Amino acid sequence: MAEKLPEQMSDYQHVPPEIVNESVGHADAKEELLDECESIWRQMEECQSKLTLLGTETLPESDAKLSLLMMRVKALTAEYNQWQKRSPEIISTNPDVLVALGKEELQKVKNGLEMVLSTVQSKNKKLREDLKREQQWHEEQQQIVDVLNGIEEEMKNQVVQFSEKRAFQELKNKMLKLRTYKEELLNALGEFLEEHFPLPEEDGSAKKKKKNSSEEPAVELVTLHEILEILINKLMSTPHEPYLTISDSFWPPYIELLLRYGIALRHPEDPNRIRLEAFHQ
Amino acid sequence: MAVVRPFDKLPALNSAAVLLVGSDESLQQKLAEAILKEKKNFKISIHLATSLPLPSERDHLRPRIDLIAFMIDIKSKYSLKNVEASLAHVDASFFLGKVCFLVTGVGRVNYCSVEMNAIWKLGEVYCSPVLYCELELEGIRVATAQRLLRMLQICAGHIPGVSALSFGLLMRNSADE
Amino acid sequence: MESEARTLPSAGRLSGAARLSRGPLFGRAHGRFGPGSGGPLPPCSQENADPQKTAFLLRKQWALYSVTPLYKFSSGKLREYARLLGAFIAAERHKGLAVQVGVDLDIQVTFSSLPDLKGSEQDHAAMLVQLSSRSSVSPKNSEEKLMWSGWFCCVSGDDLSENVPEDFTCLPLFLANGAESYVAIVGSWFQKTFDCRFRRLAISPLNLTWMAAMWTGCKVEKNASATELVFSVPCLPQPLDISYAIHPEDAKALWDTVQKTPGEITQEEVDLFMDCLYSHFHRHFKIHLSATKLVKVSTAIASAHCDGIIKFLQSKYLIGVLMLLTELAISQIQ
Repeated sequence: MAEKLPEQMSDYQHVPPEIVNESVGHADAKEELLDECESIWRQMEECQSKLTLLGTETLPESDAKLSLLMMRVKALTAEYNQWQKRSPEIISTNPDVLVALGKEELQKVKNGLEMVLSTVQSKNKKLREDLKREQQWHEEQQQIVDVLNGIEEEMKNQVVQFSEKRAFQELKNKMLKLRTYKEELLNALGEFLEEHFPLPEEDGSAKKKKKNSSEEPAVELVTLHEILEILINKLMSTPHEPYLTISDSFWPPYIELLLRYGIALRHPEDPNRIRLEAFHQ
Repeated sequence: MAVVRPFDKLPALNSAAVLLVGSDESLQQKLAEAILKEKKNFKISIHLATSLPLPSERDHLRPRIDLIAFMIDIKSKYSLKNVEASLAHVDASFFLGKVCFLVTGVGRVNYCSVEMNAIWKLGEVYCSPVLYCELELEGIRVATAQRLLRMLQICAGHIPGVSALSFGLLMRNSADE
Repeated sequence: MESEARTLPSAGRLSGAARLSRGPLFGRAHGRFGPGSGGPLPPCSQENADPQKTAFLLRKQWALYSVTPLYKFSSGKLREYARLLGAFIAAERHKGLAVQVGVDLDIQVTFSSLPDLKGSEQDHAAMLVQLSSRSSVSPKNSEEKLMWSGWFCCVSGDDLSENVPEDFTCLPLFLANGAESYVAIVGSWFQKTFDCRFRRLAISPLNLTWMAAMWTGCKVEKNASATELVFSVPCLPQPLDISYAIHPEDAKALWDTVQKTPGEITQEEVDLFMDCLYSHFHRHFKIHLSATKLVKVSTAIASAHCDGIIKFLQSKYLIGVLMLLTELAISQIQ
């Protein structure tokens, strides 16, 4: 009994509410539906009164699971039987009801289709955009191919015209250019270092001198420019032993700066030695 | 009436009622608010209780309860004890698909005061689904609210062709696999 | 009940462990140091262990960490490691201190092996790292001062050590005492050198209840210090801690009534033990301790805080406590 109830209720709750609110012209259709609802409601009340007679049942402390499983078997069997017995319900033949139901059904289909349409449209739009992008990419690739072909053509011609003397001259020119460029770079670097990384100000070093004067003579500090030069030379002349021992003539903030920005590296076992990062490798 | 029963009253038209039982009232409140914020096409009434039984003097005001969600916080052993004690005041036929256990605090293993196995066993003995969540996170709270709402619709008989019992069975099978 | 029984002699293997995989990861071997005279401890460790050698580990607060297996670690190279770590620390200390004035502390690093601290044959010997300072200003006064110590260990960590590929060394539990900044430096060196990962190891309230029950069951001499449980009350504007102290003999008597098979502890027994304590408290103060968070357990054996801090008090039970902590560390790694 108890198992029957939920299904009937779901039927009951599924009468399209729209029809109940139809206009006065369909009074008899409304009447008929209301009658149907009334009869379902009466059935429910009947079931309900039977259910109230059942009384409550709580689960026993021990073996709650077993008794619950037994209940479930019973309930599921009842539900199964109910579905077996159940025959499709015939809806009212009243034309007004049919029209209203049909309308509702069509409305539902329409809503669904509208949703599908908008999804498809947005998908199309995306595909069009994708296509456009792909086409553009393709065009670019084509251009690259064209340019490369042109270069290849040019090279072929050059190879033919190559003479030894000319090649030598060309290399010489290139060397000269590079030399001047290197010179320029070194000068620029030197100027930059002089401007931005001067030796510590007089007052600062004076203070230091004063402090240290009693113990040891002040050390002449070297510029960052010089430190870098020593590091570069060390790395270039003795690549197997590029480390340089930090001496008192290096101003510590500059060492810290080189280490912090990865220009210099500390020896893994001796914190007092540093080397230049191997930028050339 | 001391015991909550699933079919003690006639249902109200286009509406459903859920009962949240748990010792942490502020979390309950938050979850209830999240459920109310969700869009739905039926009336919903949410009843909050720290424990069962419900007071019988207000029984006539209460609608039919379609779903009971027992809330357990893994950070508080008391919340588990409280739920275990409350289960005795639920009619056996409620466990045919209209009860679920909501475990919050999942993911905070370092704060765990409850053995997870005990919770899992609870779901096993009472043949009811155990939902793991973290109600303190907004996103998960909303997702949990949506899940509960969907279950409630089924338990209240709003979905033709699916009964609470068959739905519960469906959940079990997917959880065991 | 059937599934959670933890049997002592079988190295914590658990029948029917499959369903425990649903819970958090502490389903495996708990508490093999049961009540009585500490008999259930693995035989190799207890007898060989010289209490003198491990005495310095007692009565200190250790912060707990879990460490993933170390790659290409070799216990024969401890001296070299000490040298490298020393250089690394010196370099780290130079960083950002270019214009350093003041005393330059000379930090001495030592690595040593603690072979006594193991549970099974497969366990790797524990390793101790100590940092001590010697002031470079007065080298004559060469008295070294211990600044920081940390140790790696693995006690009955077979679950992990059996399952790692070659070239890896399992020392999943790391304990540190001293300034946290050194944990960071030492940790980052280990991380770089052995490709491992350090993580703080918190102890969940549930695991604290296990500790409370297990340690209560251990036999200690008369007039031992009280068993104390500290609870913190959640959801209050001001933090409120409740301390629950029990006479150790009373606690032991309660535990003996709860425990059914000596040498074996089940989750049910632990729950029942705690429930008895809770209901006793509720009778007197009308407060549900089960609604609060257990934050600290201290007994005559050891004391543990949920933030992952432990203090060992009895060398006899050191291995047993480490076994449980190793297990927690392994479950955090996995």
